Amino acid sequence: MIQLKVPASHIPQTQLALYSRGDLGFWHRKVVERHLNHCEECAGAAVEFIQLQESLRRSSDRMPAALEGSAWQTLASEMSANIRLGLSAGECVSFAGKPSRVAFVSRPRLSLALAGLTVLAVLIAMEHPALHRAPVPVPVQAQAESPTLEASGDETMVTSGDRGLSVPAPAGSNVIRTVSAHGAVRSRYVDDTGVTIVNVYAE
Amino acid sequence: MFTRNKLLAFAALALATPAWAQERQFDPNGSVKFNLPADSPVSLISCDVNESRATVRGGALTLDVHLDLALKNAGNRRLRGITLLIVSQESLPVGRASVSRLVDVGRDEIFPMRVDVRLMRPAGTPGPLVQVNLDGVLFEDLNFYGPNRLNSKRTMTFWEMEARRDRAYFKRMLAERGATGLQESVIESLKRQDDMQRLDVRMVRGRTTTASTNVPGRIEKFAFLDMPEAPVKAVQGWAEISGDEVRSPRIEVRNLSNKPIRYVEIAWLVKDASGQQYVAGSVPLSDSDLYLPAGQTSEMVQDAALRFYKPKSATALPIQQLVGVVNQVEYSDGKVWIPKRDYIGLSPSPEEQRLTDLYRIRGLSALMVELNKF
Repeated sequence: MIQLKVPASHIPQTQLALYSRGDLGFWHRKVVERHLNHCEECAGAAVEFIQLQESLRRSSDRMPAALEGSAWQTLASEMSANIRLGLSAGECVSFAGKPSRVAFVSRPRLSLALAGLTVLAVLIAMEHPALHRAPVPVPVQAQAESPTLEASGDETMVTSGDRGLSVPAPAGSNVIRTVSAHGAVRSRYVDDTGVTIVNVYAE
Repeated sequence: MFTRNKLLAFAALALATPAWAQERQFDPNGSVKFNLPADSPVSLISCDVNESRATVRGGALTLDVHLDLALKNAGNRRLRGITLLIVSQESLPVGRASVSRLVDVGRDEIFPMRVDVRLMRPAGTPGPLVQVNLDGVLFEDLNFYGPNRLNSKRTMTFWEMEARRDRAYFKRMLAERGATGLQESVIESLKRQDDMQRLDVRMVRGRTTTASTNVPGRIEKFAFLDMPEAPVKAVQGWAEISGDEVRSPRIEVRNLSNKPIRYVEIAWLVKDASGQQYVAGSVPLSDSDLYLPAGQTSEMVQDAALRFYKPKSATALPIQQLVGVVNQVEYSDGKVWIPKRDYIGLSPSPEEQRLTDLYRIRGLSALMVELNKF
């Protein structure tokens, strides 16, 4: 039977930051959640992180154009990646002494060094243009699951992996097609008996 | 031993070959399920599935669905439109299709409807092939019947209002300028339709259309066509253009009317480097809970990436300019607003397309007879 390890000391701020973003793995999340259930101090800090995330999310709607859309997502991804990098670096250091990650709090110098490394990594990432602009690769699985909507010739189709749906227009008909950025393509044509309008929606 | 294995392999191949491209007709009684509520104003008279096929190729099953339906207006009111939702359980994670028919059908009259859809899915997954559900019926008095899962009420009401506007225009031409005036206005419409540049499109919701172009591009502002009598003003808008890809169009609109609004659609045109204008599509204010009070402003954002292609071209069209036109508005009381014909620089309405096609195929007399029916 697997026993969840409950740290005797507090959860590091970096872990709480990842927890508030939903970026922790299953077991780490369980460990943190179990700790938060009986530690008011950490629970309060976690709530603050979550509120900060919400506040950032809301304010991102009013950010300058250069930081909107994918630019902001890229930056956010890089910052997350750098927090993870800092954690990994910390793990390397901690294995030399004590294997428990949550024990950093009981070793202030180590915690300070780790926090410094993390901040340094974030600053380097933000200042270094090549790293800052590096595209975040789209996971292969995510690509396969995002339906693609195509309308060309006399056919409209939506596909995703090995599944798909397509609607042909009758040969020789004058097809008028409109695409909605909401995720649908509408094709219409006239035959002897009236107007037919076909919609294909990407889910 | 080797010979025996070889023989077994040949036998397996011989058995497998017919299954490689095995084609089956649909079962007229079980392959398609037609779901009509008990109190539906439309009844199914017949459903011909003879042209439909299920084909297994390798590990994939392709369903070529071709249905010839005969439907009857079983209610008391005239029908102006009907929308059917085509559902296949296996296609649901990917997409859905619907077929609408614009009609003018009286009580007990029978009208045809054709459904052509192709579904691809992994072979061997169980489940019914195709289900056809009624999404809604629009009556002459603009009342509606049906579950309206696809917002068919709104869509068909817009079509019906556009149809009334365009019929009234051609009837006015006939009344004011006679047969010659009607003919000239129809020829003008046909010319406008022929001149209209259309584009093929590839769209992905929520991300770029290709992973390799996931690089921030330039921000391009929308230019808006001034439309003084519109109840909504497009205040500002922009989209990100990266190479030949347009991403995440967003448009800010203000309600200029004295009534709350629950739907706005901005028609969208694009221009290439030579200044050639193309009809690209539309940007709807899509939130189903939208409530835009009088005098208030809201932003329409669509998280989508689009590439446009000239027909039969493999190269995407580089976009230089974006143009927006307020095209449809629905108030919270269900009433709708559409632009006057003076402002139509976009696609013709379905009714204009039908009437001009009628002229092209059957001539001016047939068109005059048709206009006199309304």
